[in-house]
Amino acid sequence: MTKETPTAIKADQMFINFGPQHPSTHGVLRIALTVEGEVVIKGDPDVGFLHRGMEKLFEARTYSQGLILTDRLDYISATHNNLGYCLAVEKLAGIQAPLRAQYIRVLASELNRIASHLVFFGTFAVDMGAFTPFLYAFREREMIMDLFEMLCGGRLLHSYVRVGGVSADLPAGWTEKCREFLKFFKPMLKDYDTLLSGNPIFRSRTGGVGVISADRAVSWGLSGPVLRASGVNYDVRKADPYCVYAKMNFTVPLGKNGDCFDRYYCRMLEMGQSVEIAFQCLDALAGAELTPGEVMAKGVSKMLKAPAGQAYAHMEASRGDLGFFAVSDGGLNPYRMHVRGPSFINVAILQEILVGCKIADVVAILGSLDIVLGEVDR
Amino acid sequence: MTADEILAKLQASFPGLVKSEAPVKEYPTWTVPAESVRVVFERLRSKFSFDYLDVVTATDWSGPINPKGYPQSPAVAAGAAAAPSATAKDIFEVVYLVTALSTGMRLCLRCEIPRKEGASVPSLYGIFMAADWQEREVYDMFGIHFEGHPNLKRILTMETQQGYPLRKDYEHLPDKFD
Amino acid sequence: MTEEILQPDISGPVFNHANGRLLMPETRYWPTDMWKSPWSLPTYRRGAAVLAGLITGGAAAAWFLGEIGPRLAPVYSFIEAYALAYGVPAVLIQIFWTFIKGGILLLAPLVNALFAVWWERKISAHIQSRMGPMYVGWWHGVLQTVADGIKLFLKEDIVPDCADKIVHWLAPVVVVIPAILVFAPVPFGNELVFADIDIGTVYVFAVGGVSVMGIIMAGWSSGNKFSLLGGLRSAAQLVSYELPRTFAVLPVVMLAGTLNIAEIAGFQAGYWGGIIPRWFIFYPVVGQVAFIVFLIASVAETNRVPFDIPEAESELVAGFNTEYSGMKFALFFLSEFAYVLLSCLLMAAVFFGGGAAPLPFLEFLPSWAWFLSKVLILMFCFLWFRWTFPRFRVDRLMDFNWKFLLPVSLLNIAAGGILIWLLS
Repeated sequence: MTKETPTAIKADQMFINFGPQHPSTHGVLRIALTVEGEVVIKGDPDVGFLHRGMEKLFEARTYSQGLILTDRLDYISATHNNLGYCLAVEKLAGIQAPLRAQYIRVLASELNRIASHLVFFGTFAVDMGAFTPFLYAFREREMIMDLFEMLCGGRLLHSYVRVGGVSADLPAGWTEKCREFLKFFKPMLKDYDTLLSGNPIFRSRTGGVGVISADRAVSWGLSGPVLRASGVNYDVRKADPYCVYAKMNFTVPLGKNGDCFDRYYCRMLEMGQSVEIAFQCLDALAGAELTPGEVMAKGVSKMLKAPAGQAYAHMEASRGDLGFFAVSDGGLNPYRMHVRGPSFINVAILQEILVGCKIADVVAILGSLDIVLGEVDR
Repeated sequence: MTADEILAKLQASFPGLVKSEAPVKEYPTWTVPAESVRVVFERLRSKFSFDYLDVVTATDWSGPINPKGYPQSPAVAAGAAAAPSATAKDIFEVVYLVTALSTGMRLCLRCEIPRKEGASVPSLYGIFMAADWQEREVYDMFGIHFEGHPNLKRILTMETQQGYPLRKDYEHLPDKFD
Repeated sequence: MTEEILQPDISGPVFNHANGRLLMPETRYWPTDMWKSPWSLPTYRRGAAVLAGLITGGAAAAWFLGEIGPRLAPVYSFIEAYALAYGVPAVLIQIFWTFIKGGILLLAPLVNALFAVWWERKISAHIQSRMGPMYVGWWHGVLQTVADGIKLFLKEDIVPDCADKIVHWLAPVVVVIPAILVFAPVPFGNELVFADIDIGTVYVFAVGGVSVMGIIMAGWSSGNKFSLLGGLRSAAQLVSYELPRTFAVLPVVMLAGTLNIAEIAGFQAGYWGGIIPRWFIFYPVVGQVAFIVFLIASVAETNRVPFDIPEAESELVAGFNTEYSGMKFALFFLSEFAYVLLSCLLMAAVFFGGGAAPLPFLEFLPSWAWFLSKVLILMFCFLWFRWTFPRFRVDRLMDFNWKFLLPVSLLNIAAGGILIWLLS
C-alpha cells in the first residue's frame, strides 16, 4: 500500500484514482490510472486495504483455530480455503482423511466452485452493464447456500472441512436436495449463454480485450481459469491430484486467445464440469463401500501437534492454484503459515495488460481476472 | 530425469547447491547459496523448462514467538519467554517453489541468509514475473531486500509501517489505527 | 495428545441447535418450480387474469370518456363567452388559457416520471425474477415513486467544495427546462396538442438538443474526474446520435409533405385494403429501416442501456450526476424519463399512425387511448432493452453510429425518394 502520486503527468493526461471506493473494483482495490482521454497510459494496482495480517495470526493460533481464519481469505469460496489449509496441515502431521470424507470434500468444493463462478458470472455481467444475469446467478447460488446451510450451518463461511476429515456426515435428505439442484442447474448454463455469452455487445466488449499470451501468463504465475484461458493446460486437479480427483472423470476447459471472453467462458464451462464431478461424487457416496458416518480420521486431536517439518499443499480453488506452505517446529501452533493466494498473483499482471486499453476495458479486464480482495490482502 | 537428478547435474557448476536435510514434504528440496540464486533459476528455466514459479516466501528461524495481546498457546507458560526451539537459528530462509508445467516436476529451493538488517538475496524479477509481487510481499513482511527488483516497496502494509511484521521479534507499536 | 476426538453427530434431530445444521424445510423457496410450464403455475395464471382485467377496464373507461379534445372545446367557448360578457379583453383570456394548457402540459413529464419509474422497477424486477416494490401504496407498491420523491425532496443538497457553484446549480435547470418545453408541439391524441406549429419536428430536435449543454455543464462543474469523463462522453454521444435520429424522420417528412407532427400523424389515417393500417412502419423497407434507426438513436439519445456510457455505473460510478443529490438529482432523473416519453410519443406519432386504431373495427376507442397504449408498448421496449443488454464501449458506440447508423439513414432518405417516385 503505497501513495502513488501523480508525478510526470503531461498536460493532456489525467490521473484517476480507480478505487478503493468504486462500484466495480470488487472490494477495496485501488488502481492508479493515468489516462489520456479514454486511453489508459499507465495502470498501477495498489493492494493492502484489507490486510489483516493473517499469516501472523496463524502463528498465534492452534491448527484447529487457524481453520477459522482461512474462511476469511477468499470468502466467496470458503470451502476451498478450508480444504487447502487442511491438506497442508494433514501433510505436515501425516494424517490421512477417510475415503468418505474425501468424497464429501470434493463434492463440497465443487459445489462451492459453482457458487463462486456464479458470483463471477453475475458481477462480470454487472461490470459489462447488464444487471439481469446477476440476479439469475444469485438465484442459483442461493440454492447452493441452502445446501451448505444444511451441511454445516454456515452459508458463506463454512469451516466444514476440518483437519482429518469433515465436521459431520451428510444429513438425511441432503443428497436428494443436491441432486435436485444439480439437475436444475445444468440447463441453466444454456440459459446464461443465450442471455449473455451470445450477446454481440458482450462479445465485442470482451473479445480481444486484455489479451494475455500463454508465455506471459506462465511467467506471471497466473493460475486457474485465467491461465487456462491462455491455452495452458494446468489444473492442479489433474496435474497434482488431491483427495479423490484422480478417480474423477472430467475435462479441463481451455481457451485459445487469452482474452476476457475466454476467461469468462472457461469459467462457464468449468461449472458444467463441476456438475459432472458432483454427480460422480454423489454416486460414489451412495455406494456401499463407504461407511456412513466415517468422515473423520481416528485420533485427530483438537490440540493437534505436528512434528517439526515443512509441507506445501496446493489445490485448485475457484480462482486458481491455492497453496498453503506450513512450517512446524513441533509445537501447538504453526511456526509459519504462508498462503499462496491465486488472486494476489493474478492481480499483479494488471500493470502489464492495462496499458493501452480504454477505461471501460479496465473494468472488463479486472472483472475477468475475478479477484477477491480478502485473498489478495490476506 | 527427476528433479533431484537435474539439481545433481547443476551441482557440478554450483558447488554451493546441496540437498536439504529436512525437505519440504514430497518435494525435492535443495539449498542454494544466495549469490547463485539467480543463475540457478535462469539455468532451471532455460535448460530444464522450470517455467512456473509457484511461491516465493521466507521463514524467520530466530525462534517461536510469544506474542503480546494474542491468546497464548498452552505450551508456552503464561508470561514466560518462549523456550528457544531446537530448530532456532539466526537465519532467514527464503523458499522458492518452482514447477515445470510441461513435465509436471516440482522442486523446492531454499536460500539461507544471515538474519540482519538489510539482508538481501538476488531478485528473480525478469526471469519470473511472478516474483514481482511475491518478492515485494516478502520484503514487506521480513525486510529481506531483493537486489535488482525495480519496484521494491511495501505492498500490503502502510508505507508508514514500522518494522517487519512476520519477523519473530516484531513488536507492534500502537498507532492511530489501534 | 488425544484427549478429545471430534466425533461427527449424524443421529441428531432434524434441526439441531447444537451444531446449527438445518434440514431444508419444505416451505423454503427453491426455484425448481421453473421446470414446470408457466401456465401450470397459479401465479402466472393470476397475473394474466389481472392484466386482461386491466386492459378491459382501461378500454371501457376510455370508451366512456371518449375524445378529450372536442369535449374541451365547448368549455373554452363557454369561458370565453362568459369572460367577454364581463368585458375581459380577449388577449387576457388567451394568455390565461395558455397558462392553463401549459400547466397541464407540465404535468405530462411529472406524471410520466412517477409512473415510469415505478413501471421500470416492476418490469426490471419481473425480468430478474424478483418482486420489486410491494409495500408502499395499496397495490404492488404503486406509490413507491411518490415516497422516493418525498425522500429526494427532503434530502440534503450537497455541493462539493471544488465544484463551480453557479454552473453546478444551473446544470439541472438547463437539463430539465428543454425537457419540458420540448413537449409543446407533440400531440397526445387527435386535437390534443399544446402548440400546433408547422415546424414541430424541427422544434423538437432543436430544443431537445439543448439538454446536452446541461449534461456537459454538470460533468464539468462537479470537480470530479468521473463526472468530467461522463460529460465528455455524453457530449460526443448525443451530438453524434442526433444526426441519424433526425435523418430517420426525413423520409416520413418527405412522404407526408409536412413538418407538423400532428399532421404527420393524421396523414397515416386509413387502411390499405381495409385491413393494413397506412402507418409509416408498414411502408416497405423504408419504414422499417427508418423506425429501427430512430429507435436505436432514441435509446442512445436518452442515455439508456445499452448506450448509457455517460453514466456507466461500473466504469464512471454515476457519470455526470455523481456529485448531485436530492432534488437536483431528481431533476436529471425527471428529464431522462421525459425524453423517454418524448421518444415514444414521437415514434407513436410518426411511425405508428398517432391515434389511429390498428384495425378498422377497433375505432370505437378514442384516439388518445390508442396513442397512450402505443406509447406504453414502446416504452416497455425501452425498459426491456435496458434490463437485457450489456453496455457498449465508448469507441464501439461511435463506430456504430458513424460507420453504420448514419450511412444507413442517409441511404434510407434516398430510398424514401424512390418510394415517393414509385407511389406517384
